[in-house]
Formats: sequence, structure tokens, C-alpha cells
Amino acid sequence: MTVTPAQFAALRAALDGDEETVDRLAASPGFLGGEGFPILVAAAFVSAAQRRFPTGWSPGDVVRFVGHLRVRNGAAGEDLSATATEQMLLSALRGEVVGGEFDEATKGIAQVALLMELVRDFDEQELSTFLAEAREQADAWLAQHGHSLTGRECRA
Amino acid sequence: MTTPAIDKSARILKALLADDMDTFRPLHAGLDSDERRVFAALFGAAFYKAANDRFGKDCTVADVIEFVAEARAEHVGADTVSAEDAERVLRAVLGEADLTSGMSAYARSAAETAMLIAIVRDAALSADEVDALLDVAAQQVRSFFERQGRR
Repeated sequence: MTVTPAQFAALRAALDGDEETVDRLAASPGFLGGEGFPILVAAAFVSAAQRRFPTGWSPGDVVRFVGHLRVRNGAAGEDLSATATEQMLLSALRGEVVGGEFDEATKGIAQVALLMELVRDFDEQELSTFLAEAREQADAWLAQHGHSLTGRECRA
Repeated sequence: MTTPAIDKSARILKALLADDMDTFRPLHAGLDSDERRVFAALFGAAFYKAANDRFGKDCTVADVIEFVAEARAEHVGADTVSAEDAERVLRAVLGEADLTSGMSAYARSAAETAMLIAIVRDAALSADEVDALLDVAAQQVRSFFERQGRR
């Protein structure tokens, strides 16, 4: 199992804010049939988080980052769960699994919002390179864990 | 309500805001039920004034989010209070009173305490400025209980 072209294109479209393309790709046959998309998003998210906060970060840095994210996203940011978003980012940086107090939808929304903020300053080339690397990581992960891994087991 | 009870509450609240926990804890723990009512009133008045002085009437939700993030990151610790609770108590005291209706008394008190401390620290209020804040709050509490007493 590997990340499909449609799953890869959907993440790229999501990061470009192109919801129409995301919806169209997500409706394509087989898109949600495997773990490709959540693993790709998780790989990109963890990689982007560790790139943004390499070493020496503090929980306060995470709190500030999430605060800026919520303000920048206006009304949508106000509705974003601050606690879930902070926990998602902290878990990615600590290599921990997010606690079970949040439902999958809340975690998914927080993860995508964080990822979009983490890569927002990337230029076109940086983003393409970054996503290609995330895809490689996701493919490697899927090759190793493919049939046994569920989305819930995926870190962060 | 007696002035000594208000003055005692002001001393206790001043100790809290100065992070003098050795003074705050025994005095606060020793309050009787009437004195606790006075302390709660004084705290509420101080929180109302401090928050409104800090944010003014034109503040936005974004202003509150940014302040809470900085407050938790810099002044009171991220684990002391959640962003949601801290934002709710601040927005409530700034006019959106319904936002705290679903909070427990404990959560509300903890969040208000953290945010009052954060406002004082963020503004780097001097001892004299804290005294001035507490004087205004004490006067409001005195007036409130005097009105209550006349009923």
C-alpha cells in the first residue's frame, strides 16, 4: 500500500486552501479505502512540527503558536479547540499519542489547521520538496505497517 | 458589612497578586463564611476593573485570545488554566456574561484568579498601582454592601 496520487493531490490542495479540489478528490473511488491519506497528513504534520520547533522549545512556545493560529484564522480559529490543538502539537513534538479525550473529528480539524499554519511561510519549492519527503515517509510507514495500522494508532 | 473585613480581604488579595503565598494561604484559609463572601466580592470587583482597564470597550475576541496565549506562556503557566476557560472568564467580565454559565464555580474561580494575576504581571503593576486597583475595588464592595444593608 502507498499514498495514491489522489491522496497526495488532496493534501496539496488542502494546503492551498482549495476545498473544492479536496472535496472532488476525496469523493474519488478508493480515496478513503486505505490509510494512505491520514498517514500522509500525519507524516507531513509531524515533520512540519519538528521543523518549526527543532529543539529547545517550551510549552509556552506551543501555546503562543496556537494562539496566533487561532487569531489568524478569524472566526474559524475561534471555533478551533485550543486545548486539542495544543495537545496535537505537543504530542507531535514529544512523539506521544494524543490522549483519548478528543474525538477523531476534533483532532483531524486541529491537525490540518496546524499543518496549514506550519507550512504557511513555505515558498512553492519548499512546499513541493516538503510534501514529497512526507510522501516518502508515509509510503515507508505504510510499507512497514500497511495492513495492521489503523488511524487511531498513528502518532499525533 | 464591616470595613475591617474588606480591608482584610484587600490584604489577602494583595498578597496573592504579589505572589506572596506564605501570607496568602493561611489568611485565605482562615476566612469565615462572611469574610469569604467579602473576599469574593472584592476579587470580582478587582477582576472587573483590571480586565476592563486592560482591554477597554473596543477589544476583540482576537485581543483576548492573544492575551491569554501570552499570559499562559509567560505569566501563569500553560497547565494552570486552559485557553478556553481563560478566554471565557475574560470575555464574560468584558460583557459576554453568558459564556461562563456552563462553568463550575471551581473552574471559573481558578481561571479568574489566573487571569487577574496575568493582567497584573503583564502590566507590571507596581505595589502602589495594585493598591490603587484594590482601593477602587474596595470602595465598590463597600458601596455594594451598604446598599444591601439599606434594603
